[in-house]
Amino acid sequence: MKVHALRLSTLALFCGSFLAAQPVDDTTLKQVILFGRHGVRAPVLDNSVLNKFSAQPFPVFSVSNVNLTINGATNETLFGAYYRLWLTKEGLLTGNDSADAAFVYFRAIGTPLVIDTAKAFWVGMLPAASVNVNYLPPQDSDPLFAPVAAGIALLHERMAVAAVNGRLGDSPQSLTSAYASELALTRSILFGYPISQTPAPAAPTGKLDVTSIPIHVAAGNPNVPVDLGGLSLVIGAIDPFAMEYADGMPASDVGWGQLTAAGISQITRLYNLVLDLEFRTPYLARVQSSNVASHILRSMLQAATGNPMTGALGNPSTKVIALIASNTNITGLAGLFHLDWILPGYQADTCSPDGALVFELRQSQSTGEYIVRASYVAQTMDQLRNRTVLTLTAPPAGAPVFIPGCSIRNATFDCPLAHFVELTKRVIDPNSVDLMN
Amino acid sequence: MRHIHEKKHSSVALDLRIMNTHSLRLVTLAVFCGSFLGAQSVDDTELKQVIIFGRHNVRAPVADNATLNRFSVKPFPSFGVDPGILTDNGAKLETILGGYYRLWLTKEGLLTGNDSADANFVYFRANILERTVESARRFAIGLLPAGGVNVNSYPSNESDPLFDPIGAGVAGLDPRKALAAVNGRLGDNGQSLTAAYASDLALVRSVLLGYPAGQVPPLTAPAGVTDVAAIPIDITAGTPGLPVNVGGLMPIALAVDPFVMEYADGLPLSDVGWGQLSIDGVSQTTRLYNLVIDIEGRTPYLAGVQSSNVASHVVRSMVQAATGNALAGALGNPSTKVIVLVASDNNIGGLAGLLHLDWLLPGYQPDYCAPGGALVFELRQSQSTGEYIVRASYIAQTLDQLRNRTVLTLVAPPASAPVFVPGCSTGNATFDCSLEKFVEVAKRAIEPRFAQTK
Repeated sequence: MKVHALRLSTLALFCGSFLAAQPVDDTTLKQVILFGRHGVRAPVLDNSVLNKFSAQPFPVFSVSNVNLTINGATNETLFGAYYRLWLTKEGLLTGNDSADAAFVYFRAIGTPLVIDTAKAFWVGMLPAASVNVNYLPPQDSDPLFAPVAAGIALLHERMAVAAVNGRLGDSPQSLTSAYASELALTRSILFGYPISQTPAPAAPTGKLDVTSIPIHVAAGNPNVPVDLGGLSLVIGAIDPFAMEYADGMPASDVGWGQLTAAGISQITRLYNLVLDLEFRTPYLARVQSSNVASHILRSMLQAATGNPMTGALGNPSTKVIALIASNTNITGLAGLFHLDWILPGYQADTCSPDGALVFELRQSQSTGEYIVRASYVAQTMDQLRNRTVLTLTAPPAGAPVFIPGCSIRNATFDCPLAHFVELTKRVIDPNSVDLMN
Repeated sequence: MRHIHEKKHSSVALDLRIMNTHSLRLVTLAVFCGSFLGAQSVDDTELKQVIIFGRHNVRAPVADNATLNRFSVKPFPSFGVDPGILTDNGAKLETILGGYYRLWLTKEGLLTGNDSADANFVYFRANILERTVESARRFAIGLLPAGGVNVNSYPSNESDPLFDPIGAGVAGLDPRKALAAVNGRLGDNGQSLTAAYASDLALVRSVLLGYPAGQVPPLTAPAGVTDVAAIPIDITAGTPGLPVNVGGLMPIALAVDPFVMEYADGLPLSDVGWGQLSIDGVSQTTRLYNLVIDIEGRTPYLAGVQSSNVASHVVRSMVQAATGNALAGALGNPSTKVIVLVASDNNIGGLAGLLHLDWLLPGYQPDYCAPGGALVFELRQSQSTGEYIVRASYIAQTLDQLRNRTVLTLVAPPASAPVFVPGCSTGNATFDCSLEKFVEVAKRAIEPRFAQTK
């Protein structure tokens, strides 16, 4: 915060020379692990519920609630087609889809939304191969994505409540003033008045003002580590907005014509807040994300050594692993490793529809050393809205991600596999991990 | 609401499972949760030592008005003291805060009322800046008015290894790694922050350029005024004292820095953002300031370099007090009961980042380091088992307590956030963390080569 900082802009030139000094990248991609969110879907809550929160009825999507929309499937296939191009360029795919399919492992949460997403992605990536997505029946919990419900990891309710309350000064209600501007924007959209209107009007008769419900931290249930009171209703109510935009609805249906892309982005701060509290809180990340972290690491080791390994996915020759789940899962894994990203138009650490945390296992051709590179890749809000065809020259947005405690200082944030093993061992909770393949 | 109750999602895989409708029913669990707290065993611990790691109190803006006035259509108000200097009210506020700790620590048995005797058991250390040294002195006057407390500090032309370990040569910062660590949190594109923080930047811009916040289209900056929101955010290598250069974010942080001080110093509301900022607005502008603290102080690599030494000293001071044996790299001596470290928000943010501590106080943004606010570590001992435990909290005057120079007492205390220490705290109501585990957590977090243990 010192004033000389103002003078530092001259250093930009100096920095350019840093980057130019990077050695040539002599690595080959050996395996890629994509940990992605499902595509654009209808809101989680039924319109009959949502309409209690708003002055006007919410628009109707092409599918029933919580399902992948028609455009969502299209977008996911476009995303898969981009990966086809990229992975072909990188030499991991050959163009012979049915042969390549033998080296691909897909795993999805066993709900129609996520299974359909994985299938649509596959169709883009390997169009001529028959779809093969692994998932557990919907009544079962997948230990990879829901380790607590699956009985692999044990969540102590009191620890969960304490860990979250202890980030909020034991006063979760204080969030209402910290996020006053986002809550005010949300309320103005839901009740249909200009954000600048003072005083804000009362809630319309018969409508529930979700922004006025007390926020607390209480014990959760098998699906959610802690209950956040009114905050969970707020995000239920705002969840449709990003989907309305991304699904390509007319602008008049995006927040009833009151929300721009920037407004949607601002509102997602509330959504991200909940994800942060529920899944990035260190105790919760350890319990909920150690198992998937362990499987990712073991899959890399299996590929690097060529030897089958317990607790790995696919087999030693698997080159592409696609795990399709929810923003909760991706956020939790990122939290476990303290990974952050930002993509143009999005809030920091947003898990957008289709967006994926990508781990590349690469090998140096000169030294044989294995390295890991992490990135977060997602279509921009407008690429989703316009169902933009993605190519190597018109790619999705990508954020290279520095892995704290592992990445070195080069331009691609290379993290030696050996260090990634050590780091993962430090961050995961061995009691919350299974060694099932 | 009945429909919601009747609706039941069978799927466990809902996007954002929090929205599972069960959560609606859990409102009733508030009662249950109350019983959780009620079930806690009686606190049989005694306070043995407290370490208060605080920020200086209210000061004049760090940039001089000549610089600031280039960012605004109207001149910034005067604080009556030079840039970065503790204000008169800031000094009073720090004594009020010290007075509160006097009451609390007397109640806890750490202070006796005999100030000159107690002064033998306190250790004060301030960073080299006038505002931190003066804050420490003013705090001491509140804590031990008759004590004649000595405030330790380095000469102003030297670097204190506790608060500026890089400048002091104790820790080595690799500037390229610093840049990579920050760029690798921002997708290699610092400029993306302008869209992510668009609403906050729009507010700041409207205040600086003097037009209503919602005005469409917004006013163009008049000739001669630098629009800080328009300067590219290009992250480049830093300089001594600043791990990375955050480009346009720095003038933004400098331009918003005065607002919270205007409010807290008690300037007339017409001088708080030229009458355009409410208390919520002031809080909202601090998001941009906090963003800089987060990038420069909390980025894991930077926290490891910049905060390992102070973390090591904090832990070693506790161990020294618990064992009663002098320990290298500790502060004070084995009988020191109160350690007060006064530095800047980047120091406190850095230590919090190293240990992954978060807090929230009413009226502030999460993790905000308020003037006078402190991260407080209590070393306590169970009277039944002898076990030592650590409790962390973040304590600060609210913005209105600052503005009104509210006298603080045990019944009208400053705002306080008990802090859960990840990897250490238990699930009890006071987030107790055993000293033994705290040492382990600190060892894992600290870069040993950047900690002085001699």
